[in-house]
Amino acid sequence: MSDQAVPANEEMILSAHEITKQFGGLSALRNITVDIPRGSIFSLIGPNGAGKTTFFNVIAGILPPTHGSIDLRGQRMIAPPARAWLEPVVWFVPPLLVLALGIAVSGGNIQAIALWSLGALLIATVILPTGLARPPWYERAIAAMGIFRTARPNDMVRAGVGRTFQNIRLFQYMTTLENVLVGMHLQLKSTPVDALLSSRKQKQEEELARKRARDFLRLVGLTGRDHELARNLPYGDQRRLELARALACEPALLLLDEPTAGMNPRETADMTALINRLRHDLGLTVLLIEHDMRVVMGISDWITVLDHGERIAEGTPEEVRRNPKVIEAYLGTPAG
Amino acid sequence: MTEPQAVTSKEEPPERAPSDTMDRIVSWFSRHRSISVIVAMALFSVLLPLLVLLPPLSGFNRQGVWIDNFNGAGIFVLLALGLNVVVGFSGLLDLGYAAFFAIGAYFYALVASSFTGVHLPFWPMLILGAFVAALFGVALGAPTLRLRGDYLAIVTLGFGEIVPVFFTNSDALTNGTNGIAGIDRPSLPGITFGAANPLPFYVTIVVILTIVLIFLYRLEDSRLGRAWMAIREDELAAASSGVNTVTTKLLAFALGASTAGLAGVFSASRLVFVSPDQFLFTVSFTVLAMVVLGGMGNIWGVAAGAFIIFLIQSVFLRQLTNFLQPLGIPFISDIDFLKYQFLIYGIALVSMMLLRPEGLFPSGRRKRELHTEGEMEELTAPGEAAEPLA
Amino acid sequence: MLSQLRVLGIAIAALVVGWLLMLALVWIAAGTKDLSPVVASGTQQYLNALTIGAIYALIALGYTMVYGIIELINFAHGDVFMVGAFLSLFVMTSLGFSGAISNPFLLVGVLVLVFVVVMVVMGLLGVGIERFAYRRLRNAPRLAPLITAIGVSFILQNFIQVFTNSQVPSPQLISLSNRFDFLGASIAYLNVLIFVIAIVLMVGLQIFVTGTRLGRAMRSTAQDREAAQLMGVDINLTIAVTFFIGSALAGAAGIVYGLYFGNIQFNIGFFAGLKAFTAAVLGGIGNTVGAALGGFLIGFIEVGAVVVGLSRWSEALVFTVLILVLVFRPSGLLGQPLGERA
Repeated sequence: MSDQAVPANEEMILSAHEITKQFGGLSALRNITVDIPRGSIFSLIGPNGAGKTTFFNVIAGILPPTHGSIDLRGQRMIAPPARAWLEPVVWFVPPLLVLALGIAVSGGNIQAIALWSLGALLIATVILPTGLARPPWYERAIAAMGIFRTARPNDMVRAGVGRTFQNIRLFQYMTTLENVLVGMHLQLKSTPVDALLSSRKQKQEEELARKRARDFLRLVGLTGRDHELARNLPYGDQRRLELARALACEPALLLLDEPTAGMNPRETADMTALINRLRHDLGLTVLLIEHDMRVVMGISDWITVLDHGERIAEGTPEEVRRNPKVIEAYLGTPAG
Repeated sequence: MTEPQAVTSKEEPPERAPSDTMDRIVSWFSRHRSISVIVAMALFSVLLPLLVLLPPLSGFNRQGVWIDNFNGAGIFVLLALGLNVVVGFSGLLDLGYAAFFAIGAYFYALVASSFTGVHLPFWPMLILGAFVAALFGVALGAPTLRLRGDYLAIVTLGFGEIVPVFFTNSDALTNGTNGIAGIDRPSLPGITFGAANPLPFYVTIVVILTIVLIFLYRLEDSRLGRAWMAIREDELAAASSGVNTVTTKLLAFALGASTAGLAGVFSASRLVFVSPDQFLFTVSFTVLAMVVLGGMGNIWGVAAGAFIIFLIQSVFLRQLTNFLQPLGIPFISDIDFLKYQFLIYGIALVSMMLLRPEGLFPSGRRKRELHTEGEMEELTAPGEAAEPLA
Repeated sequence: MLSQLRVLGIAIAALVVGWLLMLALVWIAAGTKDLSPVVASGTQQYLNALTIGAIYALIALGYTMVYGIIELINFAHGDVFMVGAFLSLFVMTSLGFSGAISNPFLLVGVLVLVFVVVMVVMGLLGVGIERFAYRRLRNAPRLAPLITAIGVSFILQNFIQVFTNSQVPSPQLISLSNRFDFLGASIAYLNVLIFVIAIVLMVGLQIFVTGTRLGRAMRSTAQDREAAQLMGVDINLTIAVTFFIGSALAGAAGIVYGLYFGNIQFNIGFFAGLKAFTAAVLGGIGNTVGAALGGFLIGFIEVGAVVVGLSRWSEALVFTVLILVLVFRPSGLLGQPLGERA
């Protein structure tokens, strides 16, 4: 284990404490602690099955950790839930109370009961969607009650995390442009009502959105193919499109899961250069899972090595390259 | 969002060839969708009653009966459009859609009939009925939409069963199996919506459909529409792009339910009678068949599919039987095709899924987008290096 | 061995508890303090619950096995049950039997014949459905095979409906009036027979699934299809066998239904199917013991509803159970808590 810790005075964009993930009897991750400084390119490497993608999925809010917590920009986003039972109570008790009150008050009058139940239903259908949409005031109220709900994927996106997937997950039957536009979902402010009325605000925003989407596409080197279905793009372009979609989320932290998988050396070099450029030009922090050691060694500021769900080494590329534990994990023989 | 940049001027259109003119017309219509819908619906609704004056259609039914059939078809078109939002756009399999249809119908029956003695006017109740149905859509969806697809299907099926059972068993409230009769017809100054005169109903349903179609097209092309489609394609990727899958699905459910509620209120006022038998699983299944066969996700395809299937079911199957019977062909002449209709639906569904899952009229939206000239095409040479974002 | 003994112990305990519960329900509904009619009526209702539960359990097994292996809710499965009932009617009447058979040897012979024929034919029907309707869609988006299944369900229903739209009497080879006395309650032989048949079939299934190579192939395919394939398991054959067994059991349930209720109709599959699916979910989808347990539970709920006077709501009650289970504990009673998140 490298003794050199990441410099403490740098701002950590993501801090993961003691993340543990168990599936039944299997420990996929064990006490993983990672601190990622803002603006760095941070790589996660390790043999197959080491738990890298599982860790990504935990950060992205897809898998809740069994233990441990994750702070993003200083705010606790992911942790085992606290008082989770209380939230459904908050949702269901008011309408049930109204219903009970109604039944008690109306004394068998069917129509009165029906009206009271309709009222209870009305209350429920105001409370429930609020509880699901989680506007900021709701979140504050919930937090004040001591309820903590671990972030779901779209919460993490809202907080500033974008990601790509190991096996490309594009919207196959939507066009290139539409894929990026979905990535911009949280950046667009028009409501369904605006859409129904086809208001000027809606039209303007859509136009600007399309422009901006094309900017993202140009950024990753995908132009002139706006209206092609994603499934018809060549493999390398699909990876770029997924990256464009992730960038459209305007993330502060970008999670890239094997972005150069399946690419030839030239494409790999292009992607590597692109990632570097994104860090410099957009001020992004990048967390990278990679198997291609040239990429890893080439652009990483810092590397964490996982094996069998545990962190076995960490440090700068130079340190990690020479670390005997790492060599053993990859090659399976103790280093001489 | 960045500040508005100067709008780049459109390119000069290239040389016009005859097919380009067609393309231009098509692209103009696709940019001015609302007007297109209104024009198309107006044309269609004027032509239809005239068409049925021609043989052989005139031989099947009088014009009045045809128009009444069109009203029935319009109801199912409305239902299919609503279910299309749930199943077609968002990929959520709702097998109990008739429940929302029932809720709309019974709502109106309870607020505008001699049974309850309450007589609220039709037009505001149309909106309110849609709203009440939407409420139930949200109430059903909120706890169940996080279930995976097949479970959601079963749960909605269960809900679709519970609602008619509730109406059947609540005698005091809903008159049980006998249903509620004496429902008020709509009223407009100077116009009678009567049993003998289906034309006012016809105009009403055409107007309702036009409005709904316009709304649906607008939603399809919006942030919400894209979110729905993203969920249908890959829910995890959608969530990882920031889409709140739960609320987006709820909106689909609510919208679908509200459309069914509209249909329910209209149907109740047209038949002046509601009973639980009108809202059994066969109705949910029929509407689903219409959506699937018409081309899930394709608005006009679903509408066309629903229209055609309804007419086949209510007019042509009977005509086919009447036609074949006197011919005395062994075995075939004995078939009452009406009895077989669900068998035919079943076979059609299975065949469609195996052979052509995109439906009879698959979504042409992408085809149109590929050819539209209205988009501003920025000139970048292919392969140009990506520039830093300003 | 120990776990099987444990299951047996739990089963026996559940049986006793169920009986007492039913007695309690009858007692509450009757309102009388007099015990002996309560015991008589309660025991009879309990046996009804066990019989109906057995039917649901047999159908539920097919649902749970198919779902466990290809993650598809086979909507047509309930209608296989219905077709089985009609086929058994056909076989019995073709052989010339339309009522109770008094000769026990003849009775057993006829029953065995009917069960073998119907179960094999239904099994083949299930295999055929899988082969022609579902196999091509194995990797399609989830909506497609679901819709296909609904289509197949309607095809089966309407196929029968074309022949007969209304209730059709089905031979009851053993009359319900053929009873014996046990602990003061009068018990029909038919109830016992059905229960025994169901248990035998279910135990047979468990032995097959845990003890034979094919059974192990089924379980491993259900857990991880790719890994099973890499181990040399013939996936198509395994899935076909799963459908065969599930459909055969549904056919058996159909025979039982006809024997017990005395009449059948084209739409019994729809409702029985839904309730059986609820049972499968309740017990934990993919878990065969759970499906059996769920079946009996649902039978109990249904008869219990009748006992307390809520018979009109029994369906709604079952579906409410389904919704509640799916919302609050989707893995069911015996299933593992699901770790998956959208």
